Amino acid sequence: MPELPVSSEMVEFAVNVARATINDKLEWEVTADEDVVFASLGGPYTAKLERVSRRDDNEDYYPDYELALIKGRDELFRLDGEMLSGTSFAESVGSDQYSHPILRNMWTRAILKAKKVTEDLIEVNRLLLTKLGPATAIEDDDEVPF
Amino acid sequence: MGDWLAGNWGSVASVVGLLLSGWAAIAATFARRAADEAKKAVEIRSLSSALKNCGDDVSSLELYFDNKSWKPAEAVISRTLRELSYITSRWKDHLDSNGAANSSLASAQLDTLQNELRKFRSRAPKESELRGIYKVVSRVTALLATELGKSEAKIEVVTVARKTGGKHA
Repeated sequence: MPELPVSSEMVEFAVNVARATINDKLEWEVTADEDVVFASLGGPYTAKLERVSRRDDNEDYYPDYELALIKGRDELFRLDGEMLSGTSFAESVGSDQYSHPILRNMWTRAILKAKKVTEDLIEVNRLLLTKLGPATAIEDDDEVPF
Repeated sequence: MGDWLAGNWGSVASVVGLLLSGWAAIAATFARRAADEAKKAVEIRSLSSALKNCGDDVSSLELYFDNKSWKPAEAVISRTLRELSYITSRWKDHLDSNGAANSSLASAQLDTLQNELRKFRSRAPKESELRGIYKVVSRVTALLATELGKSEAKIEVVTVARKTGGKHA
């Protein structure tokens, strides 16, 4: 698929998906490909987040992330960290980071959501707390920031 | 009475004609409504049948996976994708927003599944990949079953509406 120029609407889409993912508002789900997750956006639209492998200048592989919008079976466009780096993406998401770490965080959030790890951990921790008793409960302040 | 009729037969005939026209218009409206309901019922039955076929095809993929028959499985996925495209365009009026979303998600999942199966032509799948493809079959089957359930519930509503003259439509 030829690469489209990044429009302000595409950046807005990426910002909205990032915000919805970080705020746990999107139902990401696993696919047959371990490096791809989907989230239905309603109507014929589906968001696709993909982990891809790239090579750096030293020929070492590193993971990168791509966000695509699918309508029906057609991929409308695809954005990666480099394409978003020259835009207001990071600033609009409310981060002083570059776009790549935001996409990496999105991937982590999405994969945890898709595999229902967070839900299970909440349940397991609740069960552990009932065994340990309320005195050992960890304060919210101690929560590791994501 | 005879004199009155003789003097007013034209007016009586007009009133009778008007009443007959009104009755004919009402009868035509009911007939058109019944025809529309019958057409809708047939369309929803066709949608249900198409969704059921898709669901059966997707369920059958597990047998192909069990036998490591990747190419036939790809062919089944291609057929299901074509059928889903047809369903979403031909019966879009009978799919609600969630129905369109579920169909699109099912198509996207099947597309990814097909890409994965292509990889297994040249190498054996890993254990985690096998788990992944079975999981997708369950997911897509569930998505299609949801739409089939909604469609069959609509058939019941339309059938009841036809029997009660549209009071439950």
